[in-house]
Amino acid sequence: MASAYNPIYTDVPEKDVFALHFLQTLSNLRTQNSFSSPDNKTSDRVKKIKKAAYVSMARAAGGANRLWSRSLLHQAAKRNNKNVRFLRRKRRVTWLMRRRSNRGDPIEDVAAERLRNLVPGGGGMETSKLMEETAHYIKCLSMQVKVMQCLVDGLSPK
Amino acid sequence: MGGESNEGEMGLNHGDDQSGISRVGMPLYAKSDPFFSSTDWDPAVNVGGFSSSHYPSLAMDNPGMSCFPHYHQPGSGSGYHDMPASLLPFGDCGGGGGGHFLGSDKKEESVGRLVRAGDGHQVSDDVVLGGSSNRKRRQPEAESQWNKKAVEEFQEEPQSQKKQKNDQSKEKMNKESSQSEEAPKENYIHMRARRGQATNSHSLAERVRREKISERMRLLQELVPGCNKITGKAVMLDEIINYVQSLQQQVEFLSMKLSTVNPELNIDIDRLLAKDLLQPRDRNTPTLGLNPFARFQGTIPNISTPTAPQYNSLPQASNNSRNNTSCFCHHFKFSYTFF
Repeated sequence: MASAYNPIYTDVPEKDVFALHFLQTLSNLRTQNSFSSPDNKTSDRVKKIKKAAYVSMARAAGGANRLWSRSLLHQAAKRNNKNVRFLRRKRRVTWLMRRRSNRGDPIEDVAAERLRNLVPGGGGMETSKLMEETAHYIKCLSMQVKVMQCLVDGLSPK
Repeated sequence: MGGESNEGEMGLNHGDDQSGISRVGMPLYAKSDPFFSSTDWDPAVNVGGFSSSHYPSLAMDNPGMSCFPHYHQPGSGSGYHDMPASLLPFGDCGGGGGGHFLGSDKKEESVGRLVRAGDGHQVSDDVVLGGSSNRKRRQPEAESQWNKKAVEEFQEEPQSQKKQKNDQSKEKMNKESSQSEEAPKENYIHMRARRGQATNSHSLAERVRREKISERMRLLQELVPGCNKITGKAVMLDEIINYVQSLQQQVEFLSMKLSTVNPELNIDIDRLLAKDLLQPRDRNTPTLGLNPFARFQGTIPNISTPTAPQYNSLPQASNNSRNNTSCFCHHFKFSYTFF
């Protein structure tokens, strides 16, 4: 039957990498905020922290190596009106061809669509590639959640 | 086994696929297929580059034995109950070269197919075709009608030989008539058609793709907690989606909590380092050791000129240097000046 091809690489850095990235993005946030209005609404602050969390996660997980992290960083940079260029591998398969080859089970197509909406950058991927990215994304998300939980625990008043 | 020696001399050469099919051994269905008789299984598959000069040797290797070990014994039965009796006498097979038609293509996915000539009159044609060194796509004239409509012209389409008309495979063909365009790969994936399934290149590619997806599903199943009992793609995918959503919600919730806990965002890194705050208190999460922070103790005093850090200046830094350690040194240089 089908031969075994390259094993799926879903290695994720250690927790400390995530922690450090998150901390320094938070400190960046702080320096930015000191120039703007000091009395921020809670929702603004929350949004900023959330964005910082995602960006730091994307960077910690291997910035440009993964599709989802790349698109996350693109989105974040676009919101700041900055242009970020990533070195991209030449695309052999265009977006349209991928879409065409995605036609498969209608059952899995519906779910794959939902997954595509969830995972950043899932629009132009084949279903198999999408699942790889999802696996890596899940690992990174859980790591980030752990880091944040520890931080909240550490900073909360005893 | 005679078959294996054939395979050895064929010299499988395909791309970078090292761990791939280095040998086309017994097919996986061999164990479960009740009709599979290992003695006369003939790996007459052209895998990878295969010159036509090998062909006669392969053909002549089974002079007396029929070339189609699966199909030629109506008693032991393939799944094809409507096997015509005319298939049996292979005297005019020309030494058994027969319709062992092997598909190979340099660029595209190589697929080998077990072939059965039908009704006798194609046999000679196949021998002629097999003997020639022409590797381009051919349309043998002796082709059942319903096969013609399923055959598509792709440029890089590997050769295919049509099977005898068969209800079972016909159903398969109609079901899997959807085209799947695979991007040209440099790693060849060698497939063997299972018995009772269509050997059209579309369906084979489709099957490869489906197996890839199921393999990744298994990987995801291990990641998502509590999904060991679930079988079935739809439910599994729903579970995965729910899990991703819940993780994202957790991130949002924790960020909200963080903002209320620390309104000014003045996270004192010094205090963190001292107290080792990143160790969990009352949870069973793996602890974060002191080592990564101890590593940076030495670099922190090297404080360069303060810069206003932006979000986008860091991606360049982190992209240029793959080494995380140096990144941290840079980052901590200017982030530390504010404490």
